[in-house]
Amino acid sequence: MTDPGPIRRSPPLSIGLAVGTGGLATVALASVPVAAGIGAVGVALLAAGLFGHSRRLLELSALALGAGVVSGGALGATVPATAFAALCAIVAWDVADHGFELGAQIGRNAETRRNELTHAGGSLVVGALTAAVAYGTFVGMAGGQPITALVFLLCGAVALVLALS
Amino acid sequence: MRRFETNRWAGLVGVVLLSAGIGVVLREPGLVVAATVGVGYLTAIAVGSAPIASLSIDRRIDADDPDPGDPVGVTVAVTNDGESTLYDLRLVDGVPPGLEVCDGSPRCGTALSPGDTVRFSYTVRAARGRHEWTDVDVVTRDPTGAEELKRAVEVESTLRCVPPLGRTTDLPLRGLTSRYTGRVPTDVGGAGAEFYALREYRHGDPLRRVDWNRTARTGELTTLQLREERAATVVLVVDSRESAYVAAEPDAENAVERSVDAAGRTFLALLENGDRVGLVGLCSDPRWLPPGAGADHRARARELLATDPAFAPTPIETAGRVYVNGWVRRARKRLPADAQLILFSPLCDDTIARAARRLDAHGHLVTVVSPDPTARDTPGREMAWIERRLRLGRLRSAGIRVVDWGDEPLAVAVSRGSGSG
Repeated sequence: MTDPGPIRRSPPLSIGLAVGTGGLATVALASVPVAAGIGAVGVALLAAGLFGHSRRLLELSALALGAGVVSGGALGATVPATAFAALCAIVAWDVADHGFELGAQIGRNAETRRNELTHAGGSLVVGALTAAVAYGTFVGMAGGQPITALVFLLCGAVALVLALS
Repeated sequence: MRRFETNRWAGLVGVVLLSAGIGVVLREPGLVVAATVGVGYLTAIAVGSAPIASLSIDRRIDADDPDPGDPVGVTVAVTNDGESTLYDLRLVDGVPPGLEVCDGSPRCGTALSPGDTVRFSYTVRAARGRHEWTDVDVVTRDPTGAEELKRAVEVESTLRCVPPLGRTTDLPLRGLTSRYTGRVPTDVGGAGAEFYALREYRHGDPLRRVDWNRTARTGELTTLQLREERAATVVLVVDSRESAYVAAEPDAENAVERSVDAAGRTFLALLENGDRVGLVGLCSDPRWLPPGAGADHRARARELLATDPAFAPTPIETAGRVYVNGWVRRARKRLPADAQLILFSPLCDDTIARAARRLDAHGHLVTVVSPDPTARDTPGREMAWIERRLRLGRLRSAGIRVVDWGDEPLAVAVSRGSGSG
């Protein structure tokens, strides 16, 4: 009787977007095979978490994606590649987690496309704007200098404090 | 209204700091740029807050008076009356507990700009009773999803489903009758159709009744007496305590549903036989339909069986505890002295069996119609089955007629029961 509750599966649109963006992050890290490998594991975990509706796999995938980007940056991926990979990894995880929650709350059998697209779009805009500003500043300062990195760190820290306040 | 953090970005700060830290140590600017991207998200999280949605919600139900089992479409239209865009809006319509959603989903996830309207629809299967929608749960999140706001918006709608009373075979009544002519055979000689006894002629006996054959044989005038048939006053009692909402399988009809259905059929059959029939639920707040007859009475019973909370297809959450002894005490005050009772109950506890015996002992002859809710596939269920069997046996040995009603139609159970009753 009554409302049978949502069909607790992530909606297909979110799964597609998340796995696709995760794949882009992995491709961006292709110059560092180790990082790309970790990234690929992250994408696989992401897909498994969404299809199997498992919170734990999804969290592990976030860890793997983060590790992939950090290792890529540390082992010599170019600056734009690292920035792009970071952007894609965050968007992928954001879309995946959003789809997961939407599946749990609303269900796959309900209409959610507009919600999913809006969220993915918003996430992409935030990430892309920040990445553009950050990379632009880096290029403008004729990058590669340790000083520049420190300046960025400072900027980041300031923004961080702002964010956490 | 509840506002809380979803914590879905927990860990991002750590990754950002780690990335920036490693970037500085290894002098890799890429990592610092990557960390900055994360900082962008952190800023968006800090700035965003879940908007309080100002919505106008309209629920439309497509049917006025459906029959049970009919699909009924429900459409919910939600308009954003506020000034701000709702980036993440989730709606869950509160379907009444007695209705089953058979198509579509009463849920929707969307984004709404000011003035925009979203519609979603689903289909429920109509079920007997009065069903009330009260709330739509509204969940909004800020664009990053870091904060969530939950509240319920009251939108009331009602669906009434009043099935017609179906007739079943006659449930044989017991000997207690009123003084009105009817169809229940009595142990009283008089006018009727069936032979009852012979007695000595008394002055005033109609000549048609004189047994001329016997008079010719013996030379004494003898009067033939026929069995009088009278009407009974019957009160149907439906056990609708929460403990009576039991079924053999999760999706099977529960015992109260079956009882109400059987009560409706019995009501009509008795009424058509000329008996006076009343109706009451055994619950915390019973509404009495005193014994009566006629078309109005039938319409009242139909309405009561369909919409009274005492006969609802699912237990009422607000109902208080039922004190069976108190109910019996009050019932004895209200029952006409010549009323017999038909009790519809799954007989799942001893309290109700004791009540039946008490009422029977007080002179209201009781017939129990008991829809069988037991299964026998596990030891525990087997136990419940045995206990119910024993209870039935004890009632029968106390002289109460019990119709044990399994999966078969009621008529079959009654005809089997009347042999041994």
